[in-house]
Amino acid sequence: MKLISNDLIKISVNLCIFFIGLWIFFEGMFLSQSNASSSLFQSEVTQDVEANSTHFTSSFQSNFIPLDTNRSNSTFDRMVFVLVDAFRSDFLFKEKNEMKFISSLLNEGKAFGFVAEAVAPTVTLPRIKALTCGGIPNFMDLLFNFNSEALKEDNWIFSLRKKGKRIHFFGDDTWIKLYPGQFDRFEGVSSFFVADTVEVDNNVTRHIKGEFDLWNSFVEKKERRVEEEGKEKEELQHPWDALILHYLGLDHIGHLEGPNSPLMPGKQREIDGILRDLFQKIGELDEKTKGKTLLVFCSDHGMNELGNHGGSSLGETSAVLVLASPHFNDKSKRSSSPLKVAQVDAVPTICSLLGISIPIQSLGRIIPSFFESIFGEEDYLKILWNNSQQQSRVLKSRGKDNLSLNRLFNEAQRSHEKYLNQRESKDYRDAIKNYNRFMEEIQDEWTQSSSQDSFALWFGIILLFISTIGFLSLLCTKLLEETPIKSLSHENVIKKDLLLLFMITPFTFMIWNGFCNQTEQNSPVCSSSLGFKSFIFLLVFASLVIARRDIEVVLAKSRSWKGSIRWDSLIVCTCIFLYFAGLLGSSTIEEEHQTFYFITTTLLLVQSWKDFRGKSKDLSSLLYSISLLFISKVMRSWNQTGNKWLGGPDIHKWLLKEENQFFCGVLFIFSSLFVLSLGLVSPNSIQSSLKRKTFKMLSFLASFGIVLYKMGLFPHVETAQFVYFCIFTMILVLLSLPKGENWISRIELYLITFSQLFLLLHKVPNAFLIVGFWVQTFLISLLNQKNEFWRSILTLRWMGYSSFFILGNSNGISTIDISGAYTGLSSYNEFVVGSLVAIIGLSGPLFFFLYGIQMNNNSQGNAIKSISMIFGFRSVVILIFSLFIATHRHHLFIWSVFSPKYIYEIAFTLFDVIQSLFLLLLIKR
Amino acid sequence: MDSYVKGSIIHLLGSLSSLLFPTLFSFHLSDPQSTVKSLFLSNTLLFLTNLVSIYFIYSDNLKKRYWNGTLGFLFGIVLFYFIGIIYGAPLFSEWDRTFQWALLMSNSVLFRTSFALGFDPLLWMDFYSQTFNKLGSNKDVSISFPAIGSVVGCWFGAIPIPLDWDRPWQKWPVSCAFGCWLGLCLGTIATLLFNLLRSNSKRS
Repeated sequence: MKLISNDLIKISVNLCIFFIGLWIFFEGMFLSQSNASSSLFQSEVTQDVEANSTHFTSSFQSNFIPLDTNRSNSTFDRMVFVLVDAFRSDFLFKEKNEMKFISSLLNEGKAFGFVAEAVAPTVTLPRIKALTCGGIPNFMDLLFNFNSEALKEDNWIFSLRKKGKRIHFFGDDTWIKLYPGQFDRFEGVSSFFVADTVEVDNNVTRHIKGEFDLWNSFVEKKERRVEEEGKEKEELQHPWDALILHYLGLDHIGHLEGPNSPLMPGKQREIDGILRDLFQKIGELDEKTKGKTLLVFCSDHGMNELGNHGGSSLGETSAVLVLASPHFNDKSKRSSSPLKVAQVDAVPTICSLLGISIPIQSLGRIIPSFFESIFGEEDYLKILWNNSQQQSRVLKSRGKDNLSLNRLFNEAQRSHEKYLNQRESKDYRDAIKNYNRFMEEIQDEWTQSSSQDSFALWFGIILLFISTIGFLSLLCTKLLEETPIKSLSHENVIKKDLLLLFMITPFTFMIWNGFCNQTEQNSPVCSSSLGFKSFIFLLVFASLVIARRDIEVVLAKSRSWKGSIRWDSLIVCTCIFLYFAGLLGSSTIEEEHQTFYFITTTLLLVQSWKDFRGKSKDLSSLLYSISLLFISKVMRSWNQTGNKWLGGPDIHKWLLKEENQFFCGVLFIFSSLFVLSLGLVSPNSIQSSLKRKTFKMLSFLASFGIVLYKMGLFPHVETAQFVYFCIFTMILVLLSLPKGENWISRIELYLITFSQLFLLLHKVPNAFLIVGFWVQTFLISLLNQKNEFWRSILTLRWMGYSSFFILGNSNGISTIDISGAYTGLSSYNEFVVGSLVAIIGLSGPLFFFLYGIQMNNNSQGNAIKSISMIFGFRSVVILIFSLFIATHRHHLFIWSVFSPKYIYEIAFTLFDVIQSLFLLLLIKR
Repeated sequence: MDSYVKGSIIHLLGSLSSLLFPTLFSFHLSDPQSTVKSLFLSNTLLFLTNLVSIYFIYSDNLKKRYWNGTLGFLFGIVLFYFIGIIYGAPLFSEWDRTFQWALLMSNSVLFRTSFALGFDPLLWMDFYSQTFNKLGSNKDVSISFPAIGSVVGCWFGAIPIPLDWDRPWQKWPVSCAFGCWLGLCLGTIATLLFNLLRSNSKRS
């Protein structure tokens, strides 16, 4: 027991350092951005309001021309902003589209259509931010996608409100959480009932008529008042100046059935009809009020071939932006392919059209070709100037005063001034050319800029490195446990430790103070309290002392080590090395499942070879190996995953086809019968007959409920809740069993319960995979009777990782199965949905972990061995990957590929911690 | 000259020229049909040189040995087809590519093994398990080095397949086949050097 507690101390010390390092790195990588931007907003906001109220002066000395809205007859008074969630650009721009009305508008020149390129993460909340604030989103927005807070950054909603405009909103309630108190009338629909594709849109559409009736009655009232009093005395408050509608139905169809779903054309026609209706109403309204209304139709992001989104594939990033108005009359010839613009460009465009100030943080540029065709020369120049001025202010606030850019801007201003005085078309062209060049270059500047706290990054990496040394030295002592120690002097241990202390103390404080005094005072690492600093220091010291002793032991042991390197260990080491190398490339991360499949197959082949030779050439073991390998192959062709081949043919897609539905159903019923039969046979190890019968009864009821729910016979929330209830009670029954008695075999019962949950949560075509997992583990248990501990646990772990990908997950965000997490929920609950998402994503690794406990007959020593291997492996992965993204933080794919992968790695780390705690709990029993 | 050395030289020449074929025609690699054709050509060439080179190493009991070798070769096609599939090759579509790859692997690994040791898979396993710790005689080396080289080369050759470079040679089984040839050549060169060194040290 003493040895165990010693190991536990080692593990917990290193784990502490590991998590502190991870947190510091994470904060430096992902969180420092939001701090920077919010502080900018605080300081600039007052200045900007003042600046806007300054009036136009004829000379450029004051460096300011406001966009005078009264004089320009091209700006719009009202806007109807229709956002269709996940509307991919090709739904509109492909040859045979369902959007007949919008296409006809585009052809007639009454509308302008663009492909708006969104940036990853392509999920709703950051996209709404991009469409209103115009800034490049913070990656953390993704994590808080389901937990939106009120937005503090400047955006056009605030700008409208500042001008006393009224905004009405109907649609996704994310907006209401983002902009509390900004909407004068609103109704939110929840985006969390993914299964609902009809009601969610009807709840938005039914408001349209009422909203326009409000205007009609307003106009009548106004006319009446003019008639009564001869002239209008006081300005009546408009019912609304901006109407925002956010439709979710299309996104829900995408999540459920993908872009080729039979529901899709109907939904697109429905949206086209809504837009036709809106356009008509706008026309009538404009005539009545002699005003101008802008119709904006856009989407927040697209979807990939599976109907999911979050990543940065072409389908996911191509959103749509259409600006329409009865007043547009563009006669220029239309090119067949629509112009590509950035999604953030919508912000300055909309603001300029409405004549409001551009949000301070906005990084977009107005769409030149569009403005040129609808605005007069003078107005166009003003808009360009306004946008450039705003951009250069952002540039200054980011501390990037660029001389050549300034010169370009000044040149443009000079030509502009000259044009205003002399009206020569040459100056006009010069001014436009220079403004546009200025904006282009400033756009390049944005793509290069980043705002990570590099000191925190490196500090985190140092801590991660120290903990990795600790874990690895522990792992090495465990690996060499059987080797006897020949000679190890215990005399100088304390002396050496003291020496270490004296060596690292001045060094650490020198680095710490040196860095903090030099550049980055605002780094959270520097501003932390002295107590925290000394806590970290003590931890690091303890870890180093422990590691030093461990290394000493390992060295002593390795000197007396007589065994030779075996070829199979060499292969295993090569595989591990290959996996680590795979962390260092964007495509190997995107297609990481290939690495895992490759390595797992290799390990299984080596294992089969060993088993076949070891078991005195038993032919049955050969048969088991062959079937295991073949089953693994079949299972991994179930779901295509990754990025490049995501849309490729696989069994899942085949089962979803109309003509194979019967087969799919048969497979599902077979799978649930399989799990049921396990549930009826296995509990015989339970002593108490009452509990045994209850367990069998419950597993029967659960299977019955699952079939009813998943096969669509009785697909109500209550059915799923009933299944949850059964599963929960099954776990309670298992927990109530007397302690100590045969707990290993009880793991199997937990596995059966888990399989029921699996069937309930996963998509119907994936159900058969649970049978595959059971068969795989069954074959392994047949093969693995007298296998080595280390290799078997490694193989199982690797199979667990493979099963993560087999279920269709990947290192991209778009493959997370969110719809399954709403099974049986009648209202949104953050905690429940979050844990269900985690269970669905990690069900493969969880299955193999539970199975591993059962197989390895965990004793205390084995548990510590497993834990040391888990963390030895994990810490190296995190260290390598942190180093990689710290050095590649300006890489093009940092937000689309590497950051999601990092989030996944952290999720796996937390999962590993839970696993280890579970193992330790088992030891205690 | 030692007969082993002669055999190894012929084997090396054969593997080099079989590598040459697809390299020369590599500009056709984007066309699946020509990939299969060039693979088939080099397979034939490799098979023929195998027949000749092995004759120099094992000159006794030839009739039985050739019979064993052919059996092993056929068995190897099935075995490597299976291995190709479990590593991720498509089950039925593109079967001709997988088949050509299996031919190549069987050619460079199992034909010679079976020729030397007789058609006894268990014996082969023992033989290859031992080589890692004990190199064995010149005969053993001239069998095991090229075989291990081609398997290892093929294994590493699979690594570029999932990368996003979009090159025609990344398509299954081209990179694996090239890895195999490379490993085979290196293995033969190693055999040659090894045999030369050994015979020299024996003489002195």
